[in-house]
Amino acid sequence: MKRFISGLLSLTLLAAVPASAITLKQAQTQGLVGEANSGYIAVVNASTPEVEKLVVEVNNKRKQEYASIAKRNNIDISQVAARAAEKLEARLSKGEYYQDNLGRWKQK
Amino acid sequence: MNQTGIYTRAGATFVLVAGIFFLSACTPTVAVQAPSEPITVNLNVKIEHEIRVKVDKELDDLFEDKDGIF
Repeated sequence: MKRFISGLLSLTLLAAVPASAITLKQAQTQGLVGEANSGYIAVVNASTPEVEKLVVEVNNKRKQEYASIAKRNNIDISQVAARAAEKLEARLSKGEYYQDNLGRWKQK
Repeated sequence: MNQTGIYTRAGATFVLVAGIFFLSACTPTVAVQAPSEPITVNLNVKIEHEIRVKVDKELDDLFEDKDGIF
């Protein structure tokens, strides 16, 4: 019985993942999105509504966080975002996409 | 009386000439004020650097906390 319940639980968990859209990490690993040179993410190649939605959601949340850091340090949000872009590029795993200074997509 | 007058005039001329020499000799010394500007620039750079370090730290914390969006 216990096994049945845990099996059911893992099944619902498995079913829940595809239902709740693609995660940022998945999209990055699959090369769907990359780190833009602006401190935000952007679609690399082919776009789907699901990826589009992810980009908007993630970028909105990032913008809020950048804004609060900018406010705390009394600097412009663009300065925070630019610094974040540099640091995020460095954090990427091999094969993931980032944008160079000229806006070209490159693979790490 | 007349003699002293001459001496006074000579003395005054000497003081004047010496004064001009002194003044002209002192003029380059005034230029020493210039270095005060680069120091101000240095200070600004230092403050900017401190903010940068602080922002970097806050960004690192952010990347750890908000794993889903970074």
